[in-house]
This record gives sequence, C-alpha cells and structure tokens, in this order.
Amino acid sequence: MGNPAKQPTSGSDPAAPLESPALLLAPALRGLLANFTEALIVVNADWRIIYSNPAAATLYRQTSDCLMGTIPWEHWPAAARDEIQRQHRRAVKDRTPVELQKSLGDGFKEWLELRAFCCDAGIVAYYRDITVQKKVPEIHNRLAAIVESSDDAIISKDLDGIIQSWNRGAERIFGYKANEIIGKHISTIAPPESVDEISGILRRIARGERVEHYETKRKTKDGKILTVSLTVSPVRDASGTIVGASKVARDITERKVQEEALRAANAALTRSNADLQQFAYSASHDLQEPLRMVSTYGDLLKKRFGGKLGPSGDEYIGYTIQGALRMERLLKDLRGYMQATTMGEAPAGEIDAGGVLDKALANLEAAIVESGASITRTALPRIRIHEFQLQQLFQNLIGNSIRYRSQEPPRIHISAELRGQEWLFSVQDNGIGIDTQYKEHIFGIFQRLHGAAEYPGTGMGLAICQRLIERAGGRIWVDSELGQGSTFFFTVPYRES
Amino acid sequence: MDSSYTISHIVLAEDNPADVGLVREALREHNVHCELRVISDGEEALAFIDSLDMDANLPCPDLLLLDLYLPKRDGGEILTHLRASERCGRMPVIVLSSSGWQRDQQMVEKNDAIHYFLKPISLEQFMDLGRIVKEVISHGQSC
Repeated sequence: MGNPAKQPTSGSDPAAPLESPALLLAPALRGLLANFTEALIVVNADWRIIYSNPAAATLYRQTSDCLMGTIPWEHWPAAARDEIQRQHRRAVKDRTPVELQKSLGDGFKEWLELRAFCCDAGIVAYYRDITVQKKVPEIHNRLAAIVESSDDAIISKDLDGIIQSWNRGAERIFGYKANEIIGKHISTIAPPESVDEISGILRRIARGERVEHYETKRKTKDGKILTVSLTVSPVRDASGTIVGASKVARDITERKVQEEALRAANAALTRSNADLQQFAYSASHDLQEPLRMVSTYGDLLKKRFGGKLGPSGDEYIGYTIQGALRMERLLKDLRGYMQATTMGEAPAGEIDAGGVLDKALANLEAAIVESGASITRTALPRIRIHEFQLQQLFQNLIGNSIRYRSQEPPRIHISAELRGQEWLFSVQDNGIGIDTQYKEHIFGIFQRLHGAAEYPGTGMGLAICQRLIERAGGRIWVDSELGQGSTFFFTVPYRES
Repeated sequence: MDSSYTISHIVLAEDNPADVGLVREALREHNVHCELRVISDGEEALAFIDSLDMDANLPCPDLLLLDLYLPKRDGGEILTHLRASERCGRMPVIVLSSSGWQRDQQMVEKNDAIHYFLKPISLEQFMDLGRIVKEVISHGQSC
C-alpha cells in the first residue's frame, strides 16, 4: 500500500520545500485518507499541493509524487484555469461548495463538487463526483422525449393492472388521452375475448419474466379492434422489487392485413404457376401423339410411294417429315425447360465439375470431331449443384460454341474461379459472337437469332440454361460482340462444407 | 423350330387405328406370322380376359400388346386383371406407351410386364417393335 504522507520527507525537490503538520498525521488518519473514496488534497498558502490521497491521484490522473508541489488548476486546460482558480478560491472564502467540470479526456466531462476550508495544516480541499446527480435530470428528460416521440404505445401499469403512464403513441393508437385512462385498469383496452390473458401476463411479470412480441387483439376507444404486438417487462424499484410493468404495444393491424394479402397473392401465383406448368407439360405430351402420326405416316408414305409421286410429291413428303421432326425437337426442349423449372430438391452433396465436363464433352464428341474444335480448361472445383443440371449447362453452352462457330475451327476455353461467395464459371469461344443488343433476348424461350437453314436449333437451349442456373441459385449472362467470339458466364453459390 | 412358321395369337389393345396400322406394318416387316386380334377399349379388354378364364376351349394368346391409355379402363387395371387370371396370368405383355411419362414406367415395373415400348417418332424405330415381338414369342415357346 502506498503511503503518500511520507512523500514530502524526500525534501530534495527545490520546488517543494514543504514541511507541514500533515506529516504528523497519525497512522490511523493516514489509513483513513488513503481509503477515502473522495479526492482530497491539502495545499499550502500558495495553493501548492502538500498532500494528496490516492483518490485525488486518480482524479488528476497523476501519481501522488507528481502532484506534490503543483497547483490544482494547473491540471485543467489553459483556457479553463482562471475560472477553476476563481472557484477554488471562492470555495475557501465563501465556505460554500462550488461545482466544476473536469474533462476525462474522452469527451466525457465529470461534474465535481469542491469543498475547501482552512486549517492548521493549510487548506484542505476535497472533490465529490456529482456527475450522476447532474446527469439524472438530463437522462430523464432524454428518455421522456424518446417515450413521447415513439410511434409505439408505451404504457406502464402496476401489478394490479392499473395504468400509471400513457405516452402520445398510446393516445394515437388507442384513442384515449392520458388523463382519461391513467388510473383505469388495463382491461379497458382489451376486447372481451382477450381480457383473460391480462391476468396471465401480470402473473408472469410478477415472477420477473418478460413477455416478448406477443400478438393479440386490443380495442380502441371507438371500438375498433387492432392486432398488436406486445412486449411487457417488469419495472423494479430501487431495491429491485417488482412494482409494475412497462408495456410497448405496436399496432400491426396494417402489417397483418398486408401479410395476409401477400400470402393470398403468393398462393394464387403458385397455383397458377402450377396450372401453367401442368398445362404446358400435358400439352407437350398430348401434341406428341398427333405429331407422331404425321411423322411415322410421312415416313411410311415415303417408304411406299417414294419416287412414284413425281419430284413435287417427294418434296412435299420431305417437308412433312422435316416439319414433324422439328416440332418433335421443340416439344422435347419445351419439356426439358419445364423440367428445369420444376426441379425442386436441393442437391445433396458436392460434385466434381471437371468430371461433369468430361461427360458433357463425351456426349458432344461427334460435333467436336466434326468441327475440329479444341477445348481447354482450368482446374474445376467441387460445387453444390445437381449433376444433370451442370452437365446440361456445359452441353448447351459448348454445343452453342461449336454450332455458332466462325470460319476458324472452334477454340473453346472453360474456366472457374472463386469470386467472393460464388464460383464464376466461363465458357469462352472464338465463334461468330452475338450482337450486343440481343444479350438479354437470347435467354428467352424459343428465341433465335438465325434462320433454321443457317444454324439449326429450337431457341430453347439458353432458356433452359437460365432456368437451371436460377434453380441452383446462380446467374447467367453473356459478354460478346458480333464477330469477336462470346464468353458465357454463370455463377454457382459457394458454400463451405 | 422357327417361330416364323408358326401362327401366333397376338392381342393388340389399341384404340388409335393409325397405331394399329403401324403395328401391322412392323409385324409384316419382321415376318411375324400371326393372327392379330385388335381390342379398342378397356372394357373390352377386361371382358376378353374374363372370357379366357371362363372358356377353356379358347386358346391363351401368345402375347398382349397393350396401349396404356385406352378408353374406359386404363392399362394398369388391365395388367392387374390379367395377372390375376388363372389360365392366362403369365401371358407375355409388351406395353406400348406414347408419353414416356415416368409414372407409366413405374406402373409397368410394378406389374412385371415383359417389355416397355415407347412409341417412337420415326417409322424406322417403330418397325423395331416387330423384332421385339418375334423375340418375346420365340422365348415364350422355348419355355
């Protein structure tokens, strides 16, 4: 334990040639001062400190050693020193407590009450921290302002349910003025069917429990029934005894109505989506039947009567068969699109994108060999997606790169890199490219930029890609210019396993 | 014995005359010599199966070619009814489906049909039915 009273005996400091009766303090007194929670200093006639207790050292943020011989107001900023000096002197002269502020250096000022008097030892000054007393009214006013300006109803009641306070939010929501409802029972604002729950809430509060976001009905002064969300907390007195409850009530009637409307709209949308899916799916299958008749009997006509109907006859049969085959491809892709749209279940685990690319390339082998395409790739990650989805994506995108090739043999590069929270895949080619104005258009269903004779296709490939990748939680887009090749990008969310 | 010289009894349950024509074409293409009885709705198919159980003089057909979507009764019912038949419950069946819907295939798996034939869009592939019929019939006779 430090012993500040010994300090002056060092005596070698010329700034503090101080001998004083303070040295004569009995050990008991010294002990008392050392443990005194208020800051106490003793100064000589020149206001130089000849004794400071530990609390004073703390107040001044100095060691007792350093305080010795200094003048109290030296510890205030230069601008405040004159005023602080005046107050110290006034405290002695008028024998009256004075209030002064001391900065704690972090922007927070504490309020001190200074008392000082003369005695044989010099002047004794002590400082009492009155910050709390000074702040209470301010905090009270601030809280009151918050309560008053709240849109929510903030109400307090005692344990019998008698309303004690009623803010403006409560006036607005329930229609009662504070002076007409304070003193009344809280059940005044409960509709008959909700009255019973009040005693339950009060019992829970009495046990010290909180009731949070409790949804119930309340009644306004003019009888309107509201849906409210209540949060009720116990209010304790200074000794910690529960004396009542504070209640915050939020009017969620409007929100409830909106939620219900949203739910209904969602349900209707889901229903009509399901109907539409069902319709498209059935239609694509039902259309298949007559189409099969056209196709097979077209074939049969050709088989039986080919070359016997004259050149026009053969041509017409040819168109019939071609038309049927094209329709067949369209229906098949439409079904593929439907399937991509309805695939509901999340993938169970991660798959190796490199292995899936191998499979896609194996399916495209004929086209790759025929076009002389060279295909390169970076290392591909393991990702969370359905294998058939990724394979279909690769197949459609690489298939497009081969189909829409320029005069050059196709050069196709597949890469993947981790970008933030997702894997960014790209399929880059040196093909004919896409006019920038069609960058969005190409992802629509049955959308094509070329005639069937020029480049065959149904216009469903990229639409299917988009649905597949949306199902997997990713996005797809293209970066391309006419004649400059295309790069298709798609993302797959990255999840740490 | 070469089955192509034996007259087989084949029942075709199919309501679409165009498909009946294609089946005949496929059988002809693969030289399947048979007596083809065509049944064009589900009620009739059930009645036919019942008649086989009631009259022991009627020969049990060698094969049933069954379209799954017949008027009045569906293919699943007919399959179940057939498998419950005492005399002809083990008759080979080739299910003809035009949809390729998964539930069709599941129904067929449950009922232990011999073959599932998805009616193709090209004549050439349809003709393959003749080859399959031939195989099924000769397999049945060798047992």
